[in-house]
Order: sequence, then C-alpha cells, then structure tokens
Amino acid sequence: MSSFRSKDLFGSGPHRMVFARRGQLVVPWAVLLTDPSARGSDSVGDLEFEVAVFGRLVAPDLAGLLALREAIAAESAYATSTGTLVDTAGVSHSGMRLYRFEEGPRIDRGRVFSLSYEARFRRLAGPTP
Amino acid sequence: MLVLDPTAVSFAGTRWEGVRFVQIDRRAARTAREQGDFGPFAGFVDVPEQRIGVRVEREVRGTELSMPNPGDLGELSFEASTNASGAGAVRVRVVAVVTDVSYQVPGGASGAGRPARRIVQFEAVSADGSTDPMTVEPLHGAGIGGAS
Repeated sequence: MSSFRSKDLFGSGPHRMVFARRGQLVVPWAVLLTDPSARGSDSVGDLEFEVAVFGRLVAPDLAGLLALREAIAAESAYATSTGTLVDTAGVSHSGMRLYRFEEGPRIDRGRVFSLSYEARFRRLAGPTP
Repeated sequence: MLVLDPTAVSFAGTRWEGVRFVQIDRRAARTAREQGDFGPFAGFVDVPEQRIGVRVEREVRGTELSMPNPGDLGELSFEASTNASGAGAVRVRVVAVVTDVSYQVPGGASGAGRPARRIVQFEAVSADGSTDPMTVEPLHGAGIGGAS
C-alpha cells in the first residue's frame, strides 16, 4: 500500500506510480552565460527525483469523495513539510514534497462517486552555492 | 427489456393502439475505468453516464395523418406481463424525448397484405439527472389492461 507521511492518500481507488526521467540536468551555455552566441552545453547537477501518481479517488458518497480530495490538497500546500513517500512497490523515498495535485475533468457519479487525478512528488534540491 | 404485445400503451396522454413491441436498451454513454499497479485487469469500472433508448413499433392499418415529432417530451407508459393470465403484470413508465419517427411499408404502398409499421424511437430523460427515468410498478393482481 502506498502512503505519504504515513497517510493513505490514494488507497481509496486504483493508482499507478511512475518515476519521472532521471539523470543529469544539462543546460546550454547560451542560457548559463545569457549569450546567444555561446555554443555547447554543460551538466549542472542531477535532475530532481520525481514520482507521478495517476489514479482515481473512490467514495460511496459525495461528502466522502470531497474529504479524500481535501486530504490530498492539504498535503500539497506550501506550508506542508516534506515526508517519506512509499510507492506501490513498497519502496520508501524520503524528503519528498507533494507539489502538484490536478483533478480530472469531472466528478463521476455512477455506482459510486469517483474522481481521476494526477499527483506529483519531487525531492527538491533547493538552492546550490 | 423487451415487451411483446404490450397493452395500454400511451405517450404524452395519447393512446397508441396496435403496438407490437417495446424495446428498452440501456447503454453506457461513458465508462470510467482505472488501472492499478498490481496486474493486467481494471481495478475500477463504473458507468457515470448511461443512455436509455426506447423503440416502440406498432402496426398501422390505415392512413395516418398525426404523428409524434422529434423533440416531443412526455411519459411513455405501457403494461406488460410474462404470461397470458396477467399474473405478475407491471406498468412501465418512461419519461422520454422522441428522437426518430419512421414508417416501414412492406411491399410498397400496396402493402402486399402485411400492415405497415410505425417505429418511434426515444431517449429517456431524467428531471434531475440522478432519478432513473424508467419505473416499473406491479399492477397488484390486476390483469393486463386492468385498473391499478
């Protein structure tokens, strides 16, 4: 079971976790030097580690669904501290921040109430000297 | 749902005689589907939008000058039973909009001995979006066509 800061945010419905690209952050010299005539590029460090979650919140009624949505939204607030994300394979990733939560186009009202979403976590490197 | 030879068929307060069958189809207009990380099968499937189509086919044995028009809204009502005794008879009501009206004339206008048929198709509509536009209620022992 996945979790973030020991909270089961996504367990109400199926969800998938995908790692974003990893490797180095390569920047053109033209950008680094603010000189359009500069050629080539250089590595300025590692890409920040990012995990995307794609899934669906599911509840028997609207109030339950809204509570699930607000629980995730609260964790995505700027004031929320970083925490450990446990992915669907049971692997822990420390120092993660839930920095984006986007809902699908509509709340689906069928047999149950459900809402698709995309949530993104990142281990922010912060400013480097 | 398929009802052969329904009785007491009416739409928007007008009685329709000679109805041979009423066909009611329910289809998913949109499916919500979600896959998890644990296997090849969908972990969630729901139908948040469904469409109820109704087809009423009746025999026409003479010239007919009046007909419903696409866009007409009303209650389609009929009675049905699974056996000739009328036991277990029900009344079905569907609030629906006419979407198509057409005629079939076997063998051309001469008819070749078989009656023409008028086919009216509807799409059911719910006043509030959540109430099922179709209801089925028992006739409490009354025979088909009997009072309830």
